[in-house]
Amino acid sequence: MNATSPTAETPDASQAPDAPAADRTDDALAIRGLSAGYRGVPAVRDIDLQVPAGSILALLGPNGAGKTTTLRAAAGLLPVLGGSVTVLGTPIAGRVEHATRAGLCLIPDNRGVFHRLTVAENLRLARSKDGYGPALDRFPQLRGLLNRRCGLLSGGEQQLLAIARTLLLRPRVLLVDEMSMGLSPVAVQRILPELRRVADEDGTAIVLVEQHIDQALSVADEAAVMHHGRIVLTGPAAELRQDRARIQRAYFGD
Amino acid sequence: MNDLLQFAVIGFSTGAVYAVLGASLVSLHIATGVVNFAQGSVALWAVWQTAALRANGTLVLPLGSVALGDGPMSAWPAVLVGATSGLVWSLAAHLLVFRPLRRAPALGQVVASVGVMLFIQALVTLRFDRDTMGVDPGGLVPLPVLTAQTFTFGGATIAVGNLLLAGLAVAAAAGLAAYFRFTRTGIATKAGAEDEQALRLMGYSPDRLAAVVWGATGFLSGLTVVLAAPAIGGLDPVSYMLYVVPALAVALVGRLSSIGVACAAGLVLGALQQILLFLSTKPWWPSWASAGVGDAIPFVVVVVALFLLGRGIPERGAREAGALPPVAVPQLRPLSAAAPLAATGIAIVLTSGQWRFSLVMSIVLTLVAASVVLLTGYLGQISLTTMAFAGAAGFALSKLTTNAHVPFPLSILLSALVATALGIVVGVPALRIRGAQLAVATIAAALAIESFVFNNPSLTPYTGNLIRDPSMLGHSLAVRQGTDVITLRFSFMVLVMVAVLLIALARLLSGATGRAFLAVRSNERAAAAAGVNVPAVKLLGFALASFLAGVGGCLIGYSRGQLSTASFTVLVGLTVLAATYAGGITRISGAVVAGLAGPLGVLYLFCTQTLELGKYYTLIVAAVMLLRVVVFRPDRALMPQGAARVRRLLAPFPSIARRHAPTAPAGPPADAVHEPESAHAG
Repeated sequence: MNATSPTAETPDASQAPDAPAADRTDDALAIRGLSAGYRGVPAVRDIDLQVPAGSILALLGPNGAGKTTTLRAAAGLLPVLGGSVTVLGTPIAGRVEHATRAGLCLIPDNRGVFHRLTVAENLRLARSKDGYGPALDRFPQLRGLLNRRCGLLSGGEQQLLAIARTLLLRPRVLLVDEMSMGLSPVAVQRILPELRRVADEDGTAIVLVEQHIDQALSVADEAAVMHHGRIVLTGPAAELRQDRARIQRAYFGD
Repeated sequence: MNDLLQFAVIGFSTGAVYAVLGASLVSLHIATGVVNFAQGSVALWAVWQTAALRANGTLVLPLGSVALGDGPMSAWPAVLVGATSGLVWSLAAHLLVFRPLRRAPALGQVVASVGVMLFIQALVTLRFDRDTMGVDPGGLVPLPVLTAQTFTFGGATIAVGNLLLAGLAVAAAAGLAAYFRFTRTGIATKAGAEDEQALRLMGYSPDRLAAVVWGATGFLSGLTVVLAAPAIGGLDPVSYMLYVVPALAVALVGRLSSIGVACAAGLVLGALQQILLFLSTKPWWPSWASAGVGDAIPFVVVVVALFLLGRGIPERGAREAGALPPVAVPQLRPLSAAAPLAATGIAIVLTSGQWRFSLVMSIVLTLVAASVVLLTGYLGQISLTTMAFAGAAGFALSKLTTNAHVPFPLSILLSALVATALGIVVGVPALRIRGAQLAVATIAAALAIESFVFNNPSLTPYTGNLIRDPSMLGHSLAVRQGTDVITLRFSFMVLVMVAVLLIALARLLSGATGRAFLAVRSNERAAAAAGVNVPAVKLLGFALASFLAGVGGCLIGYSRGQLSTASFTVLVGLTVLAATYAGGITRISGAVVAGLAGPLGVLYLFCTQTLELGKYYTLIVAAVMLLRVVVFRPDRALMPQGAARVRRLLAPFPSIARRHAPTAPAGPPADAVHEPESAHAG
């Protein structure tokens, strides 16, 4: 059990975002020394990431760096081969149920929407007491599509639906994997500010895996760059946005 | 007209069974993507269970039995217990077989459900015997539960019970459809069949959701068949198992996605069969079509459904295709081919009597199983018609040799060509459908051929379908001579013929044709994009496979001196498929294993004669196949999985785990990092 659990259960908005990472005790998501991979072979090693409530972490890196693996391990889809993942103090030992019960949601890179169900059915699957009204208030574009099969939606609409459905679950920690895959930069520009709003208004901790570096950094608080299964660079997003050369070097593993 | 109405209502009893089994099949397909051939077997157990309870209160378990009360149990409790046994079997099949296979390719799932089907059926034969129940199973009948009242409507006598059955079927289908449409768990179940992982990420348990549907369909199937059995007729250890074939046909009419359509089609099919049965008693009805019409209809329904709805039947494209069983391309080396050939020749000389006979049967079965290897293992087309092809050739052989006096080698060739033509016809649906749906079409075809051709009295003279003994250049190659049950000449004739065909097959599979087969098996679109003529390759596969099976059927025919339809039933065909899968469906050596273990083969004789386990034979074959499908999966390398599991178990003890880890934790091995990421993030 993580030592931080008593305070982590009640995340508040008054934490200091500029405190040193290792000392923070109110992280909504805490990944410490994580190794995870496939068939017992680790693909990522010694990952340390802490995301406090209400903040966005942009997880960057070239293809094959281990971003998706890190998210999947954090969501309990992959066994943890070493280290630990805790969500609001609850350890996720490679069990999806632990993660979802603790309030973690992952939007996978295939978006995880069900193509044969209608939009309304997709939204109903989120066990929300208020029905799916709040999702339509947040994304009014979906209102006219309720009875359409999800497989007939455009990529951007599917992504909206995926986010809307996930937000109905009121996640405390939200992991979004390659949201922009198959989307035009314009569509990404529309969706990213929504995530910022979710972080600010609901106090959700968000990890964003992105290939659009600049757009991701513009909404994120912190950023981490992965290369060859390790984190090679971390820093405040605003700072890294100014210093593109450092990110470039990190992408090439220097 | 009144007669038609009357018979239509009589048909509602079987129609209700088709409707509920069909609705159950559609529900299971919606929920899990599995086409469950075992649905009828589950109901079969329920019927016997109820009959045993109502005879003397014995609850028969797979092992042992329990006496519930001292005498016959009253009607409704017995029905409920019987239906519940259907629920239990269905859940057991889910937990032990289908859940582990949920990401397996269609072939694995079909073979597994055929395995469950055979397993339960074999268990019914074994368990519901005199020793366990204390009564003679032959004297057992399904006692009526529903009212026997009738009323007259427009001159037709209508049984209330049949209307109640139809009502039950409609209610069951409506309930299932409403569950999927209106409840959140039902919607989640559909979602889980499409993307299990996404559903788990939303906090659902796809396994539990699937279990609900497995349990409900098992219960409803059991209940309906138990209630309908008295109206349908007697109690035998096979019939209800094969009710799954018409049920599959109506499920296909419902495009495997509409429960309501499947239910309606089931009721209509039942009524139609009864009406045809009635019409076939009329004097104007052609005599050749007086038998087997009812069983031929499902195939007609399947074919019509495929042609009308072909494009609309869902492919489960979103599901991961899963790994196919690895293929060992046969490499012909003179020694490796000559050694087993010589060994078999020596074995033929050294044995005699029934051992030599079973050895020759094994050789023939190897050929039939090789046709399964070609069509299902290499080309990936799940065909359950193999034995029917063999039987059709045997049937043609009987006609050609007795009526037309066609001489020996030509007779086999012509008969096998008849099977080839039939194979091409049955292969045509394969151009439009694949996977489990093709299995449905082919099992319907097999059943139609069995009852319309083999068991049709107007096509078989009262003396039976005799086959003249073969002879060549004045030398008799007859199987029997004096007291010798099987002659050396006949044995060697079989050996030479099978060896030549197998060598030709090996040459074919290791060449361009084999490569084209494998390309079609792994991805039809990619194969087409690479220049493979997919329809031609599929039809070629069906033609070659049915030719091989046809030669096998002729050899079986010659070995008996007449065509015995018992050698070519659907059940035998399924057993051969099971044995081939267990032996290794992608290699010719697997066919040899199937030949040895198949019905009447050497291992069969060993099992029945030496070990005296004859009655357990089907059960053993089914169990071995299920183990092979579920536990020792051919599409999965055994060792890496096991090693990973050991390491996961050792994970809490880092010092030991590190010592056992194959890759040193220090330094990132580039390929290990790249490969999984590209495989899973893509």
